[in-house]
Amino acid sequence: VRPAALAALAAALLGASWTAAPAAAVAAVPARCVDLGDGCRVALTARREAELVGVQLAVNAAIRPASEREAFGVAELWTPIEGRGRGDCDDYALTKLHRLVGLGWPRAALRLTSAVLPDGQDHLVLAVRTDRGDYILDNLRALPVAWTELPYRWLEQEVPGDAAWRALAAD
Amino acid sequence: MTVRGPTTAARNGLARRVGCCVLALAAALLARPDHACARGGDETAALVRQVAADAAAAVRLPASSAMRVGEGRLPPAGYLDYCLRFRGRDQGCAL
Repeated sequence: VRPAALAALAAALLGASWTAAPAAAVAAVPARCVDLGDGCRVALTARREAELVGVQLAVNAAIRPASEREAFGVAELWTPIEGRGRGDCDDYALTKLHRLVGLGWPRAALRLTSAVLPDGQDHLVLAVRTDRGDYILDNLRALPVAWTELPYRWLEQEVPGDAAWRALAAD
Repeated sequence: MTVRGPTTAARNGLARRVGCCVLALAAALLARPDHACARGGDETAALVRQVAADAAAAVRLPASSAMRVGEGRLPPAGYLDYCLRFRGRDQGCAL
């Protein structure tokens, strides 16, 4: 199935009730961390893979892109969007984070990550640590992608439970 | 003792009351929230959600690798504000 077709499908078909409260439509099953030597990762079972793809499609379809000045009337406001609304990259990332936690994903495997786009703009995405590697949920992409597929300059990443973020290696 | 039937006026009154009851019942039936038309909508929405869920389940992500983190940095300003507002609801925030 082509990503563009899937995104169109999600945008056209996912009802407001599902996008507003996915946890109510899909029963949450807590996932345990798998430690492969570098902290919490989620075993990417078929169910977890479908949840990852579903959250990416649903949130990208539910939020209309807008600057925070347009959406909230302030220069900078990171906030998860409940239901349908407007927001920018950090609002998409936080909404996906909250949806995945609602589906039972461990917070320690979900990491807000900053980067610079090829055109020089600052960007924020959600990195998801799995036993098959790290995937990026990006509002500029239809589907989750391997982090190495993106032409971004990676800056830093949160480490849940730690006050400081961490610089990311370039490769 | 002579038993009289209802007068014409009484018969007309009864007919009006019965007519009103029939109309009220019909209106109530048409206004029921679980009328077949509404149920059909719910079933369609459920089917649509299932189709979308099936489409998501059909996607297979290619393998990735692990990102490598280095030294500590100050978090972005928007993150600090978010953590203050969502303190206690986001276990990831440690301020």
